[in-house]
Amino acid sequence: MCSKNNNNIVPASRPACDIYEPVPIDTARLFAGRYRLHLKKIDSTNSFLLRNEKLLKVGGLVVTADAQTSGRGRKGRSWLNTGGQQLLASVVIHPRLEKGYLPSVTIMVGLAIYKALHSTGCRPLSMKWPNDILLNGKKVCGVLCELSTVDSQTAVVAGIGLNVTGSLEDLPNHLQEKASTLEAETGVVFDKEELLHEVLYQMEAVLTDAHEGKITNLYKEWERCSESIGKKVTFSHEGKQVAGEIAGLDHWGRLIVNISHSNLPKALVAEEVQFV
Amino acid sequence: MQTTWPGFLPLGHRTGCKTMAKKKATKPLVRPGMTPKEIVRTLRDLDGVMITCTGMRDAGQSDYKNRHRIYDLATLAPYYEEMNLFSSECHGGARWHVGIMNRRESPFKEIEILRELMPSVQLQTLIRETNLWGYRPYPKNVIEYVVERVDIDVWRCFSFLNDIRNMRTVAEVVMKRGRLFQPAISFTQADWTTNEYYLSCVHDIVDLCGGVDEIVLCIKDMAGVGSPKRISSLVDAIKQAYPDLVVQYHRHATDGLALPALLAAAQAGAKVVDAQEDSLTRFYGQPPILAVQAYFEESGIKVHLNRDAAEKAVQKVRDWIGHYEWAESPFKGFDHMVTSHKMPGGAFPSSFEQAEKGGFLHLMPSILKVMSLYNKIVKYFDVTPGSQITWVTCSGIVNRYAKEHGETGVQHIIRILSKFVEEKGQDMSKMTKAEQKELLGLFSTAPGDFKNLLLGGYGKLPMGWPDEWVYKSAFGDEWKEKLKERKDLSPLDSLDEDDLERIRKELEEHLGRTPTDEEFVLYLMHPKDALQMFDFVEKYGEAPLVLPTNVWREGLKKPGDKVEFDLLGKPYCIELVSVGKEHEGQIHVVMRVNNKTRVYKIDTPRAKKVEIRMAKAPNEIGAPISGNVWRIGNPRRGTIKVGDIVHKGEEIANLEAMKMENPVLAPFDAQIQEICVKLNDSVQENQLLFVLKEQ
Repeated sequence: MCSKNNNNIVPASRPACDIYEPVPIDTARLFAGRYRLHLKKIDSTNSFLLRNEKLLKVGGLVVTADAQTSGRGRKGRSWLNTGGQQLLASVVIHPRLEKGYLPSVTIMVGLAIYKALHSTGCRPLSMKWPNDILLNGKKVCGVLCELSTVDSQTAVVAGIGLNVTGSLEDLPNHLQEKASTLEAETGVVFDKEELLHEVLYQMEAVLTDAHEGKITNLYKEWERCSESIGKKVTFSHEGKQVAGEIAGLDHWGRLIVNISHSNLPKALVAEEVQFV
Repeated sequence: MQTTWPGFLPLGHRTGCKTMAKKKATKPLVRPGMTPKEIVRTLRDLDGVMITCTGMRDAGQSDYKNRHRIYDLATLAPYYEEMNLFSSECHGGARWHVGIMNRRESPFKEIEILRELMPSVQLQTLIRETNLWGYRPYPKNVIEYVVERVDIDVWRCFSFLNDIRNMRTVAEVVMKRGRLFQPAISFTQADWTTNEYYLSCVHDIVDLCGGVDEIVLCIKDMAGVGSPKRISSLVDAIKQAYPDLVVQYHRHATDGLALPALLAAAQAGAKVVDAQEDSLTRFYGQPPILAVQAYFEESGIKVHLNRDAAEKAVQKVRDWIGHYEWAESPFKGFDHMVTSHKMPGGAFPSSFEQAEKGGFLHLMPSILKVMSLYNKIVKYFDVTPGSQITWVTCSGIVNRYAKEHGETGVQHIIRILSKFVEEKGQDMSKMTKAEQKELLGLFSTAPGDFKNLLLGGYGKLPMGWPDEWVYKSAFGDEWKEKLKERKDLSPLDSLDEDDLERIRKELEEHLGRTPTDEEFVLYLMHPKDALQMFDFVEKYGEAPLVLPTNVWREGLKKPGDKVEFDLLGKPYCIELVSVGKEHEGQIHVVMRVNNKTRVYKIDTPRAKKVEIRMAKAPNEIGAPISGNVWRIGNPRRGTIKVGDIVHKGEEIANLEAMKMENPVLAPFDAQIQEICVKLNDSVQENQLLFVLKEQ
């Protein structure tokens, strides 16, 4: 398993030859946190997984990194290094859901992170569809899910970037009003490892619920936790700016928005919403 | 098409003309009807210079894709009538073809209109020796037939090979008709284009035309690359060898040095220079006429130009030039690097337009670089049809590398070419085996015109034939056979005559009636586009000539919009009253035509609901989920386009649904045949994204 190509990628706790040997954490689980692989520095934990087919076959694997050199956000945008500590993790989820429900895995991952932060005492928390976690109305965590199929096994790679420590001054000016870190908002320096275990625990619980046919309940929980029902939003649709009010999630996890001056609500799949 | 002028222009144009005509005091120094001898004598004795105004042709070709309509250009004619111009270049070049293809204006009609509005101004054309106003060599009998039937006073004729033999037939017909023949030498600045070289061309010209008394020689600096010193030296050398030869300097402004170069030419003895209205000037056409006059006179050279009328023409342009902003080149600003890539001013807008439409605008710097290296390997002049051959060949090479190997591939071939041309003196033996192989593949997919050029189809190349490896590259294993076919003759001597009667019958069958001579000439030049134009005229009549430009281009947009125009001497007013809702593919439009309300039923094939195509066959790639197409291609190679080669497992698009990204992978090695969605389209599950062709 020796690889000479990845000079920069040195595992934290194992000799170089064992780089791709995940360590068991809790093999009794089904979805999240069965195995773990920790890297010191990597381009992006998601990219790393997506190019290593063998690892994609390991359901429940979590890959963590101390640092990312080119972390990715939605639609090819970059995920910023805030200067402070970030929890950087990607989880390989093997969902056994109907195909139409696959996108809603992103909702579930977001909900799990919400619940994890909630249990550590962070307040006031809310969410922005589909899975941004807001603390005091500022984004502290981003999630990017990517789909891949290896030998007919569908794998969702759920990448998490959680801003743990660091002050607002570490962020670029234009982000200071929109983004933040747990430390800056609560004054508490959280332990990354503890946060990781809490997130994995909640993810396992949420995904188990989903597989036991409780998806509708999860949507209800998301609607309540996100505090977004009734919120006024705008989004761009086919090049036009549209305004409306959030009504909730539909059967597939799409965001339903009642459009102003229109009788027809709209189900959003890929649009980005802005709170007004 | 046979209807005779007058009667087609809006009132404004014609009354303007008449009032100007009454006030007119003096006739221009040179006029239609003068013999070539008289014209040449007038110019020889002239104290100063005259100007050919290119506002009606080259200005439009170089900066506005030849889209200036005669409707607007005609507004300048009354001023031209007063300006004391040597000539108005209003015809030829690519204006002919674009007129047929886009503006739907017949070049014959344009001449008719301008003759009426500016009877004292010499009308000038630009003609490409045996290629006339088309893009391939025509046989002698076609040239004779066409040139005899076009009512032009000054015939500027150039050869992209400076193969003077090719001008023979045009020269014979023009001179026999008693019109002014203006042979042009294609100018560029390179180590091989010495004064001696050009003098040998001029010598051939003087021989062909039986002396210097009935011609004006043009130096055609079509890319705008002649430095003032270089031009001064060339004009001087020509004047020393032929003191009585009248020289005209035509120059584009691309390198930013047009004004000093023009002055240098005049100081060395040029008698006519080309300029255009200041308000038309952008980057790739001729220099501004008022500035030329001011600069020349300050330097002590009189310019025979009625300043007052010229200023009015410059001002008049501003009334309508705003309608053509859309046609301006996306590549803005002067470009002194033209001295290496040599793209002619007249080809700038069309090349960039093609690059934009073809989605390879970003490759333009690489294409220009390859052009600068290519023109050291195959030597001729970058002007029609040579510039098209250069463009298609070089953009083809760059696009092929981009498709197969992405941006790195393009850089790779530029590196090899630069090494070969700039470092190794084009010595194949000094290149590595791998590089040799690469170079030998360079022209394997070159266009037929390039291959025809190599085989002498256009005439002799000015600096001799390219090295053997170019032939190996273009023709592969057959290269030796092909080399034997290569001709040194002029196409005039090597091409078989066309059967004009058969072609006329062909056109007659298409039209279902006897074609006019003019229609036949249009058909001889551009058969396919001429037929489309005849259909258009059949359907829309004189609309291209009478509608104002904003209405011609955009129609009447909202209720209340109206347009007024003159048709067959009668005034018309059309007002849009309302546009109904679409119902089963039809809408009702209410118009008020000369105060009578009429309802028109219009079919709207495109307004019908678009059916969503689903992927059905194995080579049709469907969307894995419902979502948004946020990327076509992948980050490593960028956007994927039709014609690109993709490899098995390569990501060809990415869909997002609720922040879940879904790569779409190529299932096998394939060429992209069709891309059925646009960036940011929302698609349903299994909606057709791509059609592939397995490789």
